[in-house]
Amino acid sequence: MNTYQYLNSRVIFERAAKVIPAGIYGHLGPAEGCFIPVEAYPFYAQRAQGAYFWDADGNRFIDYMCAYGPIVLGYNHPAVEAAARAQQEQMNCGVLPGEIMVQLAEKLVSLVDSADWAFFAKNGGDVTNLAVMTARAHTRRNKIIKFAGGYHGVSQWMQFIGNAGIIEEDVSSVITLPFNDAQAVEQAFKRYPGEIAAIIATPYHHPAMADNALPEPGFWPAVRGLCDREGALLIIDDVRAGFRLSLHGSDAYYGFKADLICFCKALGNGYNLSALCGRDAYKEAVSSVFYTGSYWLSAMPMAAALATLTELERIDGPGLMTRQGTKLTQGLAQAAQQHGYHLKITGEPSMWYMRLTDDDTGVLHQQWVSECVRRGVFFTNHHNLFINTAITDEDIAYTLEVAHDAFRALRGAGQKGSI
Amino acid sequence: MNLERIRACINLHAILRNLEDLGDLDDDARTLLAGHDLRIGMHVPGIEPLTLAVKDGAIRAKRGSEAGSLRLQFASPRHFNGMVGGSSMPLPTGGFKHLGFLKGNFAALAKDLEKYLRPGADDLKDPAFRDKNTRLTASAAMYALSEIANADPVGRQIARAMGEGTAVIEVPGVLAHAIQSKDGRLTTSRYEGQGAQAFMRFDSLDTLGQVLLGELDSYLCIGRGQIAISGRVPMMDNINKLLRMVSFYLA
Repeated sequence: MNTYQYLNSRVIFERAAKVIPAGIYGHLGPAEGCFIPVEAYPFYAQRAQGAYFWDADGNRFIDYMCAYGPIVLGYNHPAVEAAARAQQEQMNCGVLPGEIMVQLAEKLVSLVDSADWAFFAKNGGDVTNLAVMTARAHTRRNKIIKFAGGYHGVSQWMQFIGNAGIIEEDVSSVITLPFNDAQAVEQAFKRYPGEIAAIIATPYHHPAMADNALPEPGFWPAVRGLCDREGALLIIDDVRAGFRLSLHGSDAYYGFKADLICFCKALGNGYNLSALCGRDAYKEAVSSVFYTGSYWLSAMPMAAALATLTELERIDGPGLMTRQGTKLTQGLAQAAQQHGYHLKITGEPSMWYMRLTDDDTGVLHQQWVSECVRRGVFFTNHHNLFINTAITDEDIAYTLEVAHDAFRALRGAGQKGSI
Repeated sequence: MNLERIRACINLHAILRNLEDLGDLDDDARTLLAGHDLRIGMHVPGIEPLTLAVKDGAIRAKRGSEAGSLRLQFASPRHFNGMVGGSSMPLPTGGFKHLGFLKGNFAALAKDLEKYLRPGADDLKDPAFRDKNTRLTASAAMYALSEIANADPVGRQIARAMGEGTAVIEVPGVLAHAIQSKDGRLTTSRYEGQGAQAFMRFDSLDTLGQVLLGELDSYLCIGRGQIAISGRVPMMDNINKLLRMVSFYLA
């Protein structure tokens, strides 16, 4: 198989280096995005359609990061684009919201089990932060429990001590516990009686750079029971998993009910929108929080989101993504086995995590992923991956061909001693 | 947080330890060391002592105390930091026959080291000087990193989050430091080429030097392939947090 070159990406990066911090900052950049080795990765995209994007050098990739989650129906989905365009022609950013905001809230309330209302913002972090503020407003308590490795955005309280710009006071009200350990949660409530406002957690544990873990039987019922007993709110951060497991919320998928639930990524198929949904009991509290933004009530992303949810419902998007994810991950694991490696798959098939377990450093896995990228399959080595509904059986077959070729390259490099 | 104590840990086990590297790199230093055979023990209350063993024109630095040394006792971390800053003197409490070396050759070595660690702009125009400046600054930073991880409250939290294993920071074929994390404590040593889990590789000594001097943005270097990180990324992420703290303490 031919491998890609990225000359234009590098030329653009050198221009960026002069005017943009880090060239590309954040998770799309080579540093935070763990482009290892960096020469295997494109830096800039030119266009995207369906399951694919094309980089600045014209190389085509199957995008298994789905823009880190937002692309759930494939890029430029016709129904979503038509709805967005129609709304744009009417109004987007205005001095008053459009009726579309009410229609979208009604849709979320009808779909999501734990939603009696919806509050819209832009990014996932906007609504995880709002959820915590709402819990504090409702309970008049300070402390928040989260689980080690859980990611809830970039607000100060969500970060870690030692991160640039973070001071101890930012994180001093956050209690970090191991996921799937209801006993630890109970002990925390005992240690801080009447002080814990909320538990915030992803519906299953999908940290970066670590195997993912599904909730053990009894974990969520126990946590739900503890929150009820202690008067704390249970916040589910469904920013990443939302609408990839179930259209009714990932809490419903795992058989429990959140007090507040946060959505973003898949909500608008790439149009920028997030939503905090919750139960009636917290409607007044969320209303009381001073929280707004210039673009939060823009109408076009709401029209896109309504179309996205309608389409996901029509085609049973979560079911389709689970089936395709299962086919792909089983194929990848078999490919690894055929070449003498062990590829461990964890998490849910529609947004699986994988790593080669044959060395304890991760270098081998980083190398294999980079060989896939050079051949047109865009994986990352550190993060869970994503399926979207545009990924076809042919795409999966091609991905498996690439995976085999990448394993052959890995074996060859190992024999030459270059890994 | 006791800043004086943390600074004393760094001054002892990162800066003065660096005399070992200076002796290996610098002809003037080797001349000052030639023909001497002694051990100098540095004792600061509340901090593990450092022994500098001088022999065969070289210095070897070792944590802990050794018998028969020229023993330099300091009243407090502040007293010791004062000596490093040139404002106070140590109290010799043993090995008095070596006092001449202390006042003469050792003082000259310390001055030589300071010249490389606090260079003037013109000094850095000389490629040979710049080479030594980079090697010695890198060494000071890597050893200081472990001291901060073990002594600073935030550093300790970062160290605990690192997980166990060894991270390597290297210019392949030129220099390599290993930072081992075990039981929530970090130890820096020269990397012997095996048993590491996380890697930060600079493409040249020049790149490393420019990053240390703040002339190059390390994030851009990653994009350009001048710095390559691989292996256990969270471990290296925590090393980076500690390196930012090193800048604060060594400023």
